[in-house]
Amino acid sequence: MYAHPDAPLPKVGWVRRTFSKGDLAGVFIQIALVLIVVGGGWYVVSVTTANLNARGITTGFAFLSRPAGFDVAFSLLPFTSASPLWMAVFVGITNTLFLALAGMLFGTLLAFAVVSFRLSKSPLASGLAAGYIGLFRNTPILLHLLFWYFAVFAALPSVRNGLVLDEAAFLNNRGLFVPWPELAWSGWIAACLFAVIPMIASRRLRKQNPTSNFARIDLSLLLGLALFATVIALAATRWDLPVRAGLGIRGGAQSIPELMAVVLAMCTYASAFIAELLRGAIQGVDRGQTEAGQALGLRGSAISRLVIFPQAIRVIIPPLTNQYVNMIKQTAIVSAIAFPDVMLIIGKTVLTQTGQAIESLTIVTSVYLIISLLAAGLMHLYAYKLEAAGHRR
Amino acid sequence: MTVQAGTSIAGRYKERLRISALEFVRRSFADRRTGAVTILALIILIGAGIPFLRWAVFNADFIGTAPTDCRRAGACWVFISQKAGQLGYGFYPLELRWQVDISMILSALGLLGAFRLARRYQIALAVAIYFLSTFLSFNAFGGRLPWMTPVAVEKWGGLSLTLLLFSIGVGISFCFGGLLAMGRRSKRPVIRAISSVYVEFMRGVPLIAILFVAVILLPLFLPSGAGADLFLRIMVGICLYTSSYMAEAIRAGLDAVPTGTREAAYALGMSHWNTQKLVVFPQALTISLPGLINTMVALVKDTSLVILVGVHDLLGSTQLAIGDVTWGNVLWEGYFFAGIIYFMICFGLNVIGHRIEINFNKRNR
Repeated sequence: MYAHPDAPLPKVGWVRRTFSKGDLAGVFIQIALVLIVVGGGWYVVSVTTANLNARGITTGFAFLSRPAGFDVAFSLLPFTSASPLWMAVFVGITNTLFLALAGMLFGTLLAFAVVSFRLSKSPLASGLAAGYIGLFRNTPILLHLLFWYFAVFAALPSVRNGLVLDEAAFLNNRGLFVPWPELAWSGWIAACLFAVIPMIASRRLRKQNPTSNFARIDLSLLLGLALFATVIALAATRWDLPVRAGLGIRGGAQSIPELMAVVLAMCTYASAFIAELLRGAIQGVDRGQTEAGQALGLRGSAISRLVIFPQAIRVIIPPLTNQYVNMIKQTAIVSAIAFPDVMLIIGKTVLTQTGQAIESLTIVTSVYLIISLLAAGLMHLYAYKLEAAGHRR
Repeated sequence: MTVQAGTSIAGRYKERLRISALEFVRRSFADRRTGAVTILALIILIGAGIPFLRWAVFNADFIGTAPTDCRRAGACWVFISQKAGQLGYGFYPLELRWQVDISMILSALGLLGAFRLARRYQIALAVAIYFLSTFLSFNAFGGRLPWMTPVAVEKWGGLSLTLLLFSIGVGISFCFGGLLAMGRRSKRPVIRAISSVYVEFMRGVPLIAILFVAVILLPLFLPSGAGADLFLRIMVGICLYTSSYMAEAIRAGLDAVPTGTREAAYALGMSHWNTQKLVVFPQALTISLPGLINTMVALVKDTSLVILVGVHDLLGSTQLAIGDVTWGNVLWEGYFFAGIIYFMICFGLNVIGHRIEINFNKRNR
């Protein structure tokens, strides 16, 4: 009865494969499995309905149009306690994505610094980076989060005794307050356009003269950042300065301590993992490639940039995407310090307020699931494109 | 940034161990770039290291019994030594802590015994030993064995709870994960579909959400009166989650086993299960050992999330101990100590995994 287990699957529909001849045990097992899943599901649904009826809980998502009745400490969207609950869902999602994006960006930048230490020829720097990576890989992120929040940012002095920089920036237990430019939305768009110009220019240049400094990604990023800042500074009609007002601080842009703790904890923690991925990918590139670069007369940094990195990137995309998806899921721990992400707003606040446990947790799990699956799908698409490009050459 | 491609980790490690002090300095300043990096590393080391050592060692207080024994010029390690009982056992009654010790010993023996038996291919016996020891260990922890006094879940806590969560989670999710991995490679479409959907779902959702579902929704899903206690609900959540990661780690190994060895086993007339047990899985698990160790380390770290559903493991007990106002501000001491314990467990797991790998490579050479 043994068909070879690794033999390629015959090109027939799944129905034919399910009821394939000669695999009677398989047919029985699969029918039993389907019965167990369907029967178990039916049993759970019936028990749950009975339980809900006994407790007098109505089901359905109608409660989402009710006014929220609570405020959130941090929101990128306009939200008040009078806004409907479905708006709170979107506030939670944007906050989660915001945290994840900030963590990814700073984590990746920090990882490049760590890995350049780790792979440098200096034993001291290499050892220091190895210690950093080992420390962060072997301790829970929740510990880091609680440390940064309770032992660092929440333990900062009060507004009265906090740090003040030139009466324009304040750092205390209410958070970080910095001046914020006031400018029209056209100004923001212009700044963004100017920021991408060096990137596009360097992309063009890379084709003509790959070894020139103008073709470097890191330099063009820095130039873009500088251009962005210049345009903002020129276009700003007024700077909104934070000023002390009574016991608090008014005006300016505020970054609450929870946000700083989360971003710091996430980016330091993630940087250790990303640095390990980078190291693996870079060391995985064949040594002959470096020697070939040297034979062509390239300098060390040019070899890294033009020969090693492009090959390492190809290897690193799948595990890096995995890491990024993990980071999106990791943001859920911020409910431990009461930062309003989707987990805290829907999974805790809305759940306790409305008592709609099943609906709330369904929303939470499906939000994370959809984000994760989307990210994984995009990664597959990108990997496929890279592979196709590699074959074409 | 200059990086060297294609150097093996082991090679670098061996090289570094052999170099002398002079060589160390010479290498640190081999060229201009390396010299700059060395100086930067030195600045970081001295800038962070000296204040840290001052806090943790030179200005710290190690001896004493009360908060007043700390001069507060540095770390107050008296706090840790005085709270050691709470950090280890939570609020478990002092005179009953031997029950926890017995439970820990049973768990360790069970894991060790199961591992030894599994290496001698006695899989069924290994699984039986593991489940028996886990059952006994769990009941010893709760004091439900004869001659023991029951202790409520709310009193459990500390490092012992972290270890209990780990020892139960690791074995159950390994067994379940192995089945799922086989399921995802099965040629029977229904089995394959169900395992794939399960694994992808569990990997797409954060553990906290699963813990919330397990703690809040599980009682709704079960007939009233059949409510499992809080610890069991959390355990179900952790096992369901971890098994999907175990499944992916094992599947990577199964995929990497060469087809020829399987064909050889079938040519010898071995049955399907014997082939899996004696030929495929031993190779697959060796290949996937790094992934498995990573999953186990992640499990240890993930157990800290149970504090979000009201169970106080090592981190939770640390939080509670820190909250004791009579000791004043001992936040740094508490988190530092908890971090060291987690680090030792996870690093220990890495070392054990490395040893197993080296042993295996030696035997197979």
